[in-house]
Amino acid sequence: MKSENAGRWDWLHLLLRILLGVIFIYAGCIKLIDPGAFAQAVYNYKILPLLMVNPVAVILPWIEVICGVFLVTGFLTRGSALIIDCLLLIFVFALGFNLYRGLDISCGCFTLGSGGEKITLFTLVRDISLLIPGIWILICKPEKCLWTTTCDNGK
Amino acid sequence: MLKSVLKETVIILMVVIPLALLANSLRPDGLDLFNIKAPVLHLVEANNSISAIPLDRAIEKYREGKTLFVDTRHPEGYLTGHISGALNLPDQLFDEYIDNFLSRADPDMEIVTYCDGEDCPLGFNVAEKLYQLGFERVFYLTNGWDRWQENSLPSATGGDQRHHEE
Repeated sequence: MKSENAGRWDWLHLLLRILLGVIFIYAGCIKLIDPGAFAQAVYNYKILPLLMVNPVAVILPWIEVICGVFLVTGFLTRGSALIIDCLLLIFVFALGFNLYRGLDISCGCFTLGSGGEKITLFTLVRDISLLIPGIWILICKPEKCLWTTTCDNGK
Repeated sequence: MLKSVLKETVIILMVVIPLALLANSLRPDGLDLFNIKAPVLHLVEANNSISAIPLDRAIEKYREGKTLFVDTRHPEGYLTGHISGALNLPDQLFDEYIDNFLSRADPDMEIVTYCDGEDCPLGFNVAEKLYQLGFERVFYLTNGWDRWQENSLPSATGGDQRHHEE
């Protein structure tokens, strides 16, 4: 029975890992297509010093795509999950901060340009909900959890 | 285990960052990494009908009396103080305010939008939206409200916004 349960968790783990990976590959590709528009989106958040806007706009999409690919393929999974979780925390902070101060800006998450999706409570909740699989993938592989050398089923 | 996760993270970053920089340097539309004006200029250049206007030109236009000044800040900021004669069209409440604005402004009019702060994007955002709505002569005055006050130019408080009366 235990191994049957473990098998189910393995499948769920795999499914969430691929789902999160695909989401990040897609989000990264959108930003890679138009780096100027993404730089404008980063600039509009009014959080980073101007000097960092373009470097972030250049590097961030590649991090999203490569980590997404690693999550899908299962290579360097936990390192990718850690980076993606850190990114999601930064996104949640940036969205929450700008919602709090009432800035009406585009999210720059999955669409770019002036007609892009605006930051709303929904975009904030969406990013928080993506953190759940992200943290799970980070702390618990099917066969081994981060805080222990044995897995839940005692192997 | 934690060590191995951190090791994986470092490996990924060591691969991705040089890859990103290399790809950016090779692509024709790559960003100038440390050109701090690049993000804003990117859109301004793409739309050559919207441009920043220097303060002295804005003052000239104001004195000629043919240009409509548009305060793009939140209504609270507008009510506290604004360029005398300016209409309030907040970027964040654009959809809500635009009908009232269109009833008072003609697309043939010359427009100067402004907000406050060197990095404030609201003036440009509203200028872009107005251009898309058919206003062909739209300018934005960077850090307009602060500079207007610094030069003791005509300003007003309160509002005559019909939007609030409706």
